Amino acid sequence: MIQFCNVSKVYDGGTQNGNKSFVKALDGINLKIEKGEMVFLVGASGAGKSTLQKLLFKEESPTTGQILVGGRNIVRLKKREIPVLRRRMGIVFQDFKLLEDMTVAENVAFAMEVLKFSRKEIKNTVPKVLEQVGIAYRANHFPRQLSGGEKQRAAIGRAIINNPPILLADEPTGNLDPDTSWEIMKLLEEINLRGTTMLIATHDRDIVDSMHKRVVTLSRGKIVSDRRGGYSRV
Amino acid sequence: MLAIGEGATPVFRSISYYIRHTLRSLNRNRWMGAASIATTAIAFFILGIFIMGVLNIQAISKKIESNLEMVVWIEADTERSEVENIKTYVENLGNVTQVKLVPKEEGIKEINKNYFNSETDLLKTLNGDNPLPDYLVVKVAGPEFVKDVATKINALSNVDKVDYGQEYLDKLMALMYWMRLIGAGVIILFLLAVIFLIGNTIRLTVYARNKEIQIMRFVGASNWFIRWPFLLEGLVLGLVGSLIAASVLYISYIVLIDNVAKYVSFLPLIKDTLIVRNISLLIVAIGTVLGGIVSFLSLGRYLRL
Repeated sequence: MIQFCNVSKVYDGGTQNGNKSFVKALDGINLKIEKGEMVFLVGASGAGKSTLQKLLFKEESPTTGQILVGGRNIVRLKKREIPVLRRRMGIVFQDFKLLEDMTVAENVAFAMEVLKFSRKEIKNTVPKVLEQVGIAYRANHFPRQLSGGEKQRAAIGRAIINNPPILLADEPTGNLDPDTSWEIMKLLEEINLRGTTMLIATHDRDIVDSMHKRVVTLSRGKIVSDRRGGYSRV
Repeated sequence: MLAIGEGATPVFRSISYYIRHTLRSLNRNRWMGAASIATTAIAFFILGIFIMGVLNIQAISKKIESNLEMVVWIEADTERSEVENIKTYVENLGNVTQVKLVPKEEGIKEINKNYFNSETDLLKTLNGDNPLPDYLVVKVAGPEFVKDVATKINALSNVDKVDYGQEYLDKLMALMYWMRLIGAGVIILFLLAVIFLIGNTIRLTVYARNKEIQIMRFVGASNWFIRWPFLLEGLVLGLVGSLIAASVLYISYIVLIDNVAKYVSFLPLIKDTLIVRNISLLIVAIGTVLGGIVSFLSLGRYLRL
């Protein structure tokens, strides 16, 4: 489903003492994720977790290497083809990115609206998805009236509204307490069990340890471990 | 691949979305929007005034150019017999078709009739001392002879001066030159202000909707879907501003002509409302297109897709 072939990403770090400095965010990444897998991406801050996800939804382009999504090379994707790629991915963020002047239901409906679903489709789908992510009872509340966990449920609802085959999550539990984090992970696992391929970046050691999934550890832009089970202690 | 946007009327769906979101952000930036609209209105109103001014001056020049008459002013203390001699001389010049003598007695009667009420006797008020000169009205066979005949008459002694259209034409041309120059300068300044203000409104909208844009991008909205509401916002600002300018121009010109034309009936002012209407429509078209172009350009600068 997802494949990285020898991918490196170098950021221009500006000029220091007259010398141009470069930051190597990713260095020779080779990674293959099968359809329906749930993979945790762990590592310290700055290890390259976010960069790796940004390459997947084409917010960034790799300096070298190839990336395949669903069998298609996305490295040389045209600008107008990027939205098509993103419609096949749900993206979940640490800070939820909900619109404050819209209710939960409207936030979810907004995503469908910009994807040009009909009003009827929106009306039918939104309650079902809210039910699925366990936030239906908050449908008409605004984000400021919700707890962190509820906000993340709403954001996940929005991400899966068009049944994307892939879901990317960048520190989805980063702003949540341990109990809530656990609930959110269980929700993500439920979605994964319905067939969605999932790549979750996190540094929440306890959760990763108890989920018993595939764990890919990044350190300074390199994969230092890739195994099933717990958080790698490198 | 997912079937996205299939169904009854995706185009209408999008249009209703664009309109709703355009109105929302217009409402959100209403002060900046009002400033843009006001500046656009002023800029295009001034543009309209200058266009109408130039058109009127052109109409007047045309009239003057086709005028075959000139007025020969005789020096004030010239004997009547001498005036008659001049008249005969002029009548015998080539290409002169008609010469009419207007003696000063008649001249003062004209002034009395035109500018004072019937009870006033201007001559009496002046103690019978008529300060006016005699003058001749000379007609030539064609506009090309005006200058030549005028020069010949001007060379005569006892002729004070010869008034003919060319002089006015020169003055009008000079006036037109300055009007065009000043007009172009003022309009360019205002258009720059329009571009700055509309551009800035769009920039504020882009910033205000930053999060929304981010979400749209991540869920996979097409780039044009994201752009349209901003373009519409610029179009609406340009449209409303120039519409105000055009309406004010249209109404005020018609009212002005209605009230002024009868006092200056000798001037061939443009009274055709069709011309004013077309100029107004032109202004609306230019304003709307300008609004669209400005917002498109500022989207290029501020909206990174």
